Amino acid sequence: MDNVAGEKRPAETAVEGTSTEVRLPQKKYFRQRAHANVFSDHHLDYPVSPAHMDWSKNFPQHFAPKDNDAAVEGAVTKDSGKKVEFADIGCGYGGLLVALSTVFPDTLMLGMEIRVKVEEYVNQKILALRQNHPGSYDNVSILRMNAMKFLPNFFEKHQLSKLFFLFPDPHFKKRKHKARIITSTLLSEYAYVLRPGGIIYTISDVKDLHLWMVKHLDAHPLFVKIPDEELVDDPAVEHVRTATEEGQKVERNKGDKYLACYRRITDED
Amino acid sequence: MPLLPFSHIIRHPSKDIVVLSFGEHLQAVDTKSGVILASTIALEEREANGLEVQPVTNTPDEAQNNKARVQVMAFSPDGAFLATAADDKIMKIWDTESWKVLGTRTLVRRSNALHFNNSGSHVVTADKFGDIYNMIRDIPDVVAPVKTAETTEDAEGDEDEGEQPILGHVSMATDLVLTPDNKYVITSDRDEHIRVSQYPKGHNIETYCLGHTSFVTTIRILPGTSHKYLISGAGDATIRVWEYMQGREVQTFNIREALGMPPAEADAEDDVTVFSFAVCPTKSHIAAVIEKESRLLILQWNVAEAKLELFKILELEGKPLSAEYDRSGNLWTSVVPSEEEGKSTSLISVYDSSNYAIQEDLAKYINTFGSRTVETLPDLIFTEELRKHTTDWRELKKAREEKEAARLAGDPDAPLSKKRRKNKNSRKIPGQSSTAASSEPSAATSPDVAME
Repeated sequence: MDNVAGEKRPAETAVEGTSTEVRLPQKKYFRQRAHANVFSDHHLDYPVSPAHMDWSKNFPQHFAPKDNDAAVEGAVTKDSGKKVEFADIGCGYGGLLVALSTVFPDTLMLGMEIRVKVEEYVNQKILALRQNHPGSYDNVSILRMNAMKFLPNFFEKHQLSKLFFLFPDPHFKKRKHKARIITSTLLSEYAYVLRPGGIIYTISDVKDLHLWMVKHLDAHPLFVKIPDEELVDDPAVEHVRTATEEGQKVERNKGDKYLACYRRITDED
Repeated sequence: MPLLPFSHIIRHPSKDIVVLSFGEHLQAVDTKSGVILASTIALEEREANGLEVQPVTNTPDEAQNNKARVQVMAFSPDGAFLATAADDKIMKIWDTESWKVLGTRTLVRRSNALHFNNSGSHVVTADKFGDIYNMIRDIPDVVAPVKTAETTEDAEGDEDEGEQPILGHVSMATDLVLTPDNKYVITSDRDEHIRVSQYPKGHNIETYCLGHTSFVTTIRILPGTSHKYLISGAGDATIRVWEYMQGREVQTFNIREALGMPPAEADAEDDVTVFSFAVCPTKSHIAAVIEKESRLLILQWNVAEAKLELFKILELEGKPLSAEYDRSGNLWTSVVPSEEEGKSTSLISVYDSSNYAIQEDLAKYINTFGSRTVETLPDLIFTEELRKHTTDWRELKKAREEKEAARLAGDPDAPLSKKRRKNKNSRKIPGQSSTAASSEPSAATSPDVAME
């Protein structure tokens, strides 16, 4: 399955009208049930290692194609030297990426989403935004991926400075708790791709899940809670609360949102 | 009726003993004389061919009625203890003097690898769900709760109860080793990963060794060269050598090339798979057991150049299950007996340490008395559950059903397959078609739990 953003897949399929402004894709054509089995073998494309990854399809303005035969049209011929620094795990419809793209225009950020249709929507949305706003949104992209399994295939040790887990699947049943995106053992993998000082952002409208995430983050030796007063100055936090589709839905329903942010530290000894 | 072959052979670290497992049973064999020292079954005399019935200490296992197959074994570094784990998730600690079980404990999930730490105080296990536990050797059945049918549902998902893993893969963990200084634990998984973490503080991941393109089956640290090289076998027809602290691949050894096989077809789902390695204690030889391949690769680890070289291709009497060097450097191999009428296969063959000539004397007792006959041979080769299938599951299901129908028509194995279906703990077996699992979509090809 071709799951990589590419020039060959423009935004036309769900686009109407003929004005020069490309219309953004509409979510209603890209709905997919909210859950995916993270333990099964999906048809996923992932590089053998970070060194094998050709990022030119995702960030054509920042990476030269590794293989000239598969070159992406309009891609640069020399790498900008930048690497992905933010990852939004389970990015859904990509609201956070789009919002942060202009807040951190010099930072490359990647969304990972396991649902095919949702990935397709975000992909088309980013391509349309790039067309409508030349020079902008070149720093955001999305991949269809199971982040619980394959993060180290994409990111080197300590490559990332921010990891986002916004409104993750609550997996309410006790039996399914091991499928939750924050677990003791997965946090060690997140700590591997996060640099010391890097931040994990979590938010949920499900109090149980929030408490679960806090409990596991508190217990993990490589993470320490960031006090609320420090978060005031963090420009990402506001978007973590409001930029996603889920966040807006909770707002409309006047629900609660529970935020918890943790800094990656190094082990004492 | 065929004899049940030996699934695993393991060498005692300080005595001239190997332990062989077959089914739920164990035998300890003196590697100097070939005499069976201890056995968990009452050994009967069978067509003795002039052999004296050898001295045997029978140490019937208390859990005799338990037919779970021994999956993994490990000796403590001083040789005082042997840990075994079977497919019923029960781990046993054996005293290697008396060959009595000192304690048992129920693991959270089926173990794919066991490893003692240097002091012998802990046993590290890697399980089917990818979790790595560092368990105290001496506390049986205390920390991990025993699961009954009633408690399973609840306890499965609750990671707050019982022992916590020191690290985990979201994938089946296939093997594990501790570095000789016990500072690091190295684990491999079904998703092509090899991970190096601190031991016992496994939350500190040092690096990954990434390069395999199919499931990793087995890893070992190579002798000499300050133990800084790791060897790995996988389902991608390669053996790789790593400078594991750097996560750097230093060599890819192509098995197809070594065995003179043509390259794999582009759309083939299965490729040549390494089962396991045996590392020779007397010289830098490594035997690589290849699935469904009656030729054993004997590799030489060239310490000076840090390079793996082909030393010899050893023709076995059948498809191998296990190989192990004893303390003198003799190579013990176990094969699946031939199913051809009238052809008898030696279950165990021993090859000498210098030129790999066969040593018939050493294997005569174990071959004559060591095993017992079974109605039909169970499937002993388990890599199917490691493979990922990219074919549509419906096609797979259809193919399996056809295969099963053909098998039932020819009959001899039919009752066996029915019996297996009842055993929830048994691994998925190729050709076994009508289990509930194989009628599910993509999850059916995953050994991990179906979450939906």
